[in-house]
Amino acid sequence: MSNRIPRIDQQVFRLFYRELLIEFRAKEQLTTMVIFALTTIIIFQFSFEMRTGNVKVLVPGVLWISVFFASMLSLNRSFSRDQEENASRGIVSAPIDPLSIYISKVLTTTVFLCALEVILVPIINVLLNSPILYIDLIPVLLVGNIGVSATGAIVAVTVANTKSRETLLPVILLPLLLPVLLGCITATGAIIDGQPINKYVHWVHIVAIYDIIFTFASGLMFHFAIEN
Amino acid sequence: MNKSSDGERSIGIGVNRFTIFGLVTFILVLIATYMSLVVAPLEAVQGVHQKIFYIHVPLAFIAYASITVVLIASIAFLTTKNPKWDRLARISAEIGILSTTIVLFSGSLWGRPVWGAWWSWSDARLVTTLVMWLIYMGYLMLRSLGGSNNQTAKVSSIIGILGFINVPITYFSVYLWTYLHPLPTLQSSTERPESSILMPFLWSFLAYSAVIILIGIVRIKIEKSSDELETLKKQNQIG
Amino acid sequence: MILCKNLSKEYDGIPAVNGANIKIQKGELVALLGNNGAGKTTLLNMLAGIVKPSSGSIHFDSPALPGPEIPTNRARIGLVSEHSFLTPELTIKENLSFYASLFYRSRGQYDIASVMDEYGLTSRQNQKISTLSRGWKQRTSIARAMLGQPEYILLDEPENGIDQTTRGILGQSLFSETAHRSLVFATHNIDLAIDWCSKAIVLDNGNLIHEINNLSNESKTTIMQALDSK
Repeated sequence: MSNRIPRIDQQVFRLFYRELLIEFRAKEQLTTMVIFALTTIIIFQFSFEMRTGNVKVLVPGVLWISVFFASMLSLNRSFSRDQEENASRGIVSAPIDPLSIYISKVLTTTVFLCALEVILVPIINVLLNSPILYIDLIPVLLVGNIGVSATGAIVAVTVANTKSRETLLPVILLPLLLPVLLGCITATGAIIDGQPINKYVHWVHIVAIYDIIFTFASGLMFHFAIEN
Repeated sequence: MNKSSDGERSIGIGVNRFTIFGLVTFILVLIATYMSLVVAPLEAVQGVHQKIFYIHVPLAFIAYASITVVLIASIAFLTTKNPKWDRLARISAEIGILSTTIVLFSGSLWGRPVWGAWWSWSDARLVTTLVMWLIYMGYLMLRSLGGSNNQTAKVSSIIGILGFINVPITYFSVYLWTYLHPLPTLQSSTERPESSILMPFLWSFLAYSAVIILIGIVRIKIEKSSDELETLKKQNQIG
Repeated sequence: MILCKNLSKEYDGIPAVNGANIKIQKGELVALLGNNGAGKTTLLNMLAGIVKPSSGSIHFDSPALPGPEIPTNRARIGLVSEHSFLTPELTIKENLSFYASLFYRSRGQYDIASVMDEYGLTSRQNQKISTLSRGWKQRTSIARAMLGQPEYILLDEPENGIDQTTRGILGQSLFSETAHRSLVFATHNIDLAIDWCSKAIVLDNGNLIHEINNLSNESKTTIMQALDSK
């Protein structure tokens, strides 16, 4: 019988495929994320142009704040959607390992954030008149996205059944993500300033270590979070 | 329903172990204050302002100890499902945020005359303490806005564990950041304590730990009665 | 065979199911009766592995073996509840393909087309769930539950969405392989219960108050009394 049910990697991929299919159909998450990020950029431009005259220094912050808030839009939507028709319960009653649900959520959010950045980074480049299209940025974006998604996914599921889950999510998530944001913002700034790789690579390592620790811990505890 | 054990019979009336503990705590605080203000030497550079160290540091220890207790209680709750661990975690978090607030305030009060600023982003410990405050805050908000008790307990345990893991990583990140991006030099806040400073420090540590434990015991009793009352109420509603 | 040993579930100190000891044999068709709030849904959710018991245990095949906690056992269960478990943005076909993919390792092991055919869903296969009426959602949900060829079918008061045709199709599906399929059927419809089932369990406030083997039309009065007296 255990030969019949899907392996964990198959479970993860199939759950992930469903999320992609939904997004492809509804086109909801990516659009709202992009629009939200754009609005953030515009507000930053107006509020800081007068004070510093040099908005470029804020580019790393703008980028990662947009990523942070966009991730919450994505997570909130993803989890609340699963509660319609109780689809999440249906998935739990299937012969899958709860860990697969966690990994697929992390994977989905990471992919959505990458898609967001593919659109956002060139836009920042143009709107804020600041060169940012460096290939060295890609590892930074990747480890950052994974960190945000890994912690975001577990916190989102823990607040999913509370009264004010949309307010609780940023309140709990932000302090937990501080090492990721700090590291990624600093590394992004270093890359934009043209600093040599040895000046910022340690940040990528730190965020990567954070990713490993938090994914591991969250993976272990995830089944407690979805138990009823 | 009324279990009678020494401490639970009353709070403050009559002589029992609890009142004695309370009295001792009070005396300890008096000793500690005397030692800190009078006996401890006046520090050469900072003067009398340095004396806030005797509140700031012990409470910092307590704040970090609290988050450790939250971690242990959270793990214990997830593995045993015994509600007493959940209660301990909750109360530790309350103690934690109280002590962290005092640490931040005293740190600010200390910093102002000494650094010339209310806050310093180049002090990794201070920044980490601020982040820890935010973690406690989120944790307590989750508890108060939580749904059913058992589910809240479980998810709070998860956040408690993640919060604890976050602290050393945050400290390391911020420390590295301040190390690599030195801002204009501010007074270093690490001093190796001499013995004349050590004694008042130890007394203060003992005194404030006792105060915190006292608060903790009172809270535990209140929470326990409150939980029992809630359960009884619910059982009566459906009976 | 499913065995429930002292199965209990409480929410905030209030028991929903209290020390239930139930045995369901292979191929047995059991009716789960009781008024609202008796604990039928909670019991079914525990059998399906969605809700974790506060105490007690569930065992499949033998008292020494685990229950729905392990994924392999969940593959043998098909649950139909008041929620359809379907994704509104996707079509019937996509929903069924998705669920089948969670139950089977490879594509070759299942055939969506024939399941859709059996439940009359083929003509609507490309319709999104959000556009369907409750009845059609329920029918799709039943098809979804049957995808894994479950040995144990759990029905939680499905009568709201079941029309005559669906009832007929479901009945056919159940009885075509009775030797292998067990049913636990929670319902308010006592006549339907007597029609389909050979055994009845009556719950009240989480407690198992009555067990009737050899269910027949005569049992109806006993059941009504048991339900009314509380």
